[in-house]
Amino acid sequence: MMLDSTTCTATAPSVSAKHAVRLDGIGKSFGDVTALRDVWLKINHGEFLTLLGPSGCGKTTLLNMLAGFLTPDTGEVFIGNDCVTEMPPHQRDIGLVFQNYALFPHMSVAENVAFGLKMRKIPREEIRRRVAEALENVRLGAFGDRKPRALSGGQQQRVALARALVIRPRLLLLDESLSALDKNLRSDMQVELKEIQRRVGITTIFVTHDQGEALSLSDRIAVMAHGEIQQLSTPAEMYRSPANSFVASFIGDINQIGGMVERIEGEEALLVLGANNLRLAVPLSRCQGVKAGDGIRLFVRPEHLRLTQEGGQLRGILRARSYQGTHVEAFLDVDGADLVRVRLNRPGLAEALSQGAELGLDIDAAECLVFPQEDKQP
Amino acid sequence: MKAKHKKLLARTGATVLITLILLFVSVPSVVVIMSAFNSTAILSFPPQDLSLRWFERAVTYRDFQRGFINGLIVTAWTSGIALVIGTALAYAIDRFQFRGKDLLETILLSPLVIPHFTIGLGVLMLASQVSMRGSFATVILAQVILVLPFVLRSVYVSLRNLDRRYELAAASLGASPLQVLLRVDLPLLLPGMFGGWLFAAILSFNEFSAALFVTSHATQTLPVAMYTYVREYTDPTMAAISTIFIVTTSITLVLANRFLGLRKVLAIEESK
Repeated sequence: MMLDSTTCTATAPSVSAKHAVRLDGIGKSFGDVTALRDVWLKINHGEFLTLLGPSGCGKTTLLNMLAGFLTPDTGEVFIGNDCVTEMPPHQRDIGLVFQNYALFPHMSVAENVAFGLKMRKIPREEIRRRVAEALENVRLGAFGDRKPRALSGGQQQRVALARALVIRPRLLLLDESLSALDKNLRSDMQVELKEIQRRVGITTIFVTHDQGEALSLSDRIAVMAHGEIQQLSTPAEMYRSPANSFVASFIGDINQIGGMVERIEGEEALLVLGANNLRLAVPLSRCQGVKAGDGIRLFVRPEHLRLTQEGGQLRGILRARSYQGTHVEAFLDVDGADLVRVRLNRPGLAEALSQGAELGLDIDAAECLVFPQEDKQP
Repeated sequence: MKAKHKKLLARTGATVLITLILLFVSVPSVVVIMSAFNSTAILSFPPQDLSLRWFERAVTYRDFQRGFINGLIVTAWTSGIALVIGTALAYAIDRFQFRGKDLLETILLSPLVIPHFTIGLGVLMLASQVSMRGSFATVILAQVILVLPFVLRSVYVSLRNLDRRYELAAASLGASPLQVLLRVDLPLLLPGMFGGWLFAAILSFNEFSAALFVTSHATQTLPVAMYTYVREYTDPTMAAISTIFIVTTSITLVLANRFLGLRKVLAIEESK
């Protein structure tokens, strides 16, 4: 079945494509470096999918293949029903927004937006109408005559978006498009981008290294490392049930404690953790491929730890506190672990604590994750 | 108080130094310009009485008129040909990998280190072989070789500063490679091309040592005509024609700056 789908032949055009984009076994090397290794991916119509990963993980290579700037060594790229593996970029009907927006500096805002329509030889009257509409759509109706340079970063971003969307592309590609904006503007743009994307209903692929952006914008996230997709799932699923230790440590804040599996008992794994041989029972559903006697790493998020004055499963010394407005983060020095991060929702409690105080921690075992010690760690 | 004094001292020192440098650079021109207004027939400084008679002689002297027209013809052809060839070569060197690329670059830039008269002599000897001595084609050939590095360099720098993402964005918007070249690359390279062309034109118009070898009486350019003149006469006509030269070039540069933004042309990195 898979073999059959890798041939680059279009399905009958009358059949509407099941997926907006399909990547079948994409591989790519640059010299000795493998950038992508057998990547399979199906993206639904109207979906907002994020390719997330550290630099060098292959996400940009994948984007360049979708845009047509690179050709894969192996595998095929489908957009709708069309196999576009070898198709040059200007025939692909794809909207693209770069990190620095790449607005043509020698053209006005309106000319920038009109560029794609001119290339399509659309009548001048219609171009005028659609450009005005597109600029209105991103709330820049009055800025058509300005040069891009005269606009703020956020405005340039919106022009780039309008320029990409006005050609009514089959697919919208966003390459680190929000990274150049300052923090406040970025969260505003996130909301706006998501709103426009939903209104237009366009299938969107967003490339970023910022996990916060990925979580807040995406319908689904594909986390990449070493040229492979590590996990493909919804943001909530990704956050609660990461597939491996790489995803666990890449998405959100998480603490790690080393230990081993003492034995498996029914639906639970009994773990021995840290320097003080803490015993903890974790549901097997939260453990990945571990058996009795294995060395493991326990992953637990800051909000799943409870700080106590007396007792507690772990004991640690309070090293630092950081006030975050809605909550306070406390950092505890626990034997056998790196500095453990705890989230306190009642700031009052943390203020009563003095640095250097010895405190206890209770672990919410049902929310922990256990991965084998040797799990691939990029 | 002390810091204030230091600052004042530094500022005064800098002003004096800059004034001296400006004087040093402009003194020869100033001397020539002033002696052009001398009424006597001896090329001397400072002038005794003021007069415009040498300007009159300069603009009515047949060889100067001829030399000026010849200079314009040679300059127009030279700068135009150098612009086309230089741009094409710069593009090839920037965009394509090919064998002998480094060698090509070295050869193309070599006129910067080879004396102009060597090139003039070489072209003269070649031209004699094919009986084209003193023709416009020969003069233009020699000049193109001389000014090509300037065009090449200028366009090459612009190409290096051109953000490739403009091209990718244009391609994604449906522009074919030719359309990308015409609608994105060309407009963005225009300042660099213009800068290279302007340098080439001014250089070619002023060039003397190579032109001395390759021009004949019929094709001699203004600097060569001036040299011939100065070997026979020593009156201030020379100073007058020099003054006209300086004023014309200055006006050209000021106009170029006014209408085309020479600042932007020269500060290529900034335009990015």
